[in-house]
Amino acid sequence: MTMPTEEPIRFRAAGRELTGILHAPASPRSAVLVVHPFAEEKKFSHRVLVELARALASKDIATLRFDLSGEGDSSGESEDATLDAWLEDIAAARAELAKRFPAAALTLLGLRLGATLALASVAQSPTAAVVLWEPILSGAKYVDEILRRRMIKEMMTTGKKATGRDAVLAQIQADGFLDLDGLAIGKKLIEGISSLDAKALAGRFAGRALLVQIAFNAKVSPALEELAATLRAAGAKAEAVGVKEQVIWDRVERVEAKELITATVDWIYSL
Amino acid sequence: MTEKSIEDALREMMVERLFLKLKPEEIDVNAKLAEAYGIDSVQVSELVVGTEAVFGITFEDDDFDPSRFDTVAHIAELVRGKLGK
Repeated sequence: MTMPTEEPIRFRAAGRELTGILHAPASPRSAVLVVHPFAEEKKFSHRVLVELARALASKDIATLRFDLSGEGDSSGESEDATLDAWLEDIAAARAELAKRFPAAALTLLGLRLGATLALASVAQSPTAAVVLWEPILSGAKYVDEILRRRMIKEMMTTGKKATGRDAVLAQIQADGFLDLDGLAIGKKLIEGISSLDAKALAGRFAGRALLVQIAFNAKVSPALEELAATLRAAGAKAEAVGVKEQVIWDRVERVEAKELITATVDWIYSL
Repeated sequence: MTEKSIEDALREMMVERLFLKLKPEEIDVNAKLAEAYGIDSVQVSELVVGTEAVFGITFEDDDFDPSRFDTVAHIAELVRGKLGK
């Protein structure tokens, strides 16, 4: 039996050079493109996404993990990233997988903001399937959550009352970017993320969809059930499941997420 | 909900959501969360979300003062204020 290879690859999207790791079995039965989450969540969830890709490859499913422009090893500055550029990046990564494995059905898989970007991508151009791990349902609420987490971190690290969100928003307008733990997030990207509405995107996809809630009680939230129902109404075969795991995107320590990986690999393998 | 049960509900929620290896009753409501249980800023964020969900309240920006989130007793006091108790 030939072991799957792990190969760094480079490809281009509208002049930007993107970098990824391709997990390639000898004869892939299908292919998966992984869309990473945003900012610190990307860093914290990295290991789980690597283990997911290895588990998929062990089942003869080719998997590409790559960095969006302005992130990780890909070209560009985080401050210059935009939502449109990121959707172009995903389209380029899809084309790269299609070029390498023309016969393999493609599943897009994303975590948090990456899940919503995956949904936006399949709404633009359909794939066989999409897997949404804890998708961001409202971009505007997500940005608000980021600002609030920033406040809490400021409160905890300085021991003083935090700067309110209105003041931070005014600062973004003045500076053109948000300083998120030293990472500059451009105003255009913040506006793009704020415009995302998962429910509106779900109405434009009719393939197979797995929606996963990662929660301490393994319960699927009414909002995620509603997103699955919107997908079904659009003609998709969608199911929402709850997996009991520690959140994988905001912990420094390693989280194994075995149940999450097994449930996801089994679902993709069954397609 | 009684004052006692606000604190109990907070302790149960903390153990569950933060995956603490403690029993709820082992959390001293007057102990500093960071020093006694190693609660960091990420966990405080989860604690904030959990408290809002359990009690159906919303914290405003003005609430984010470290002295209000440093012990279970202080969080309970903030919750009581929000609930008008």
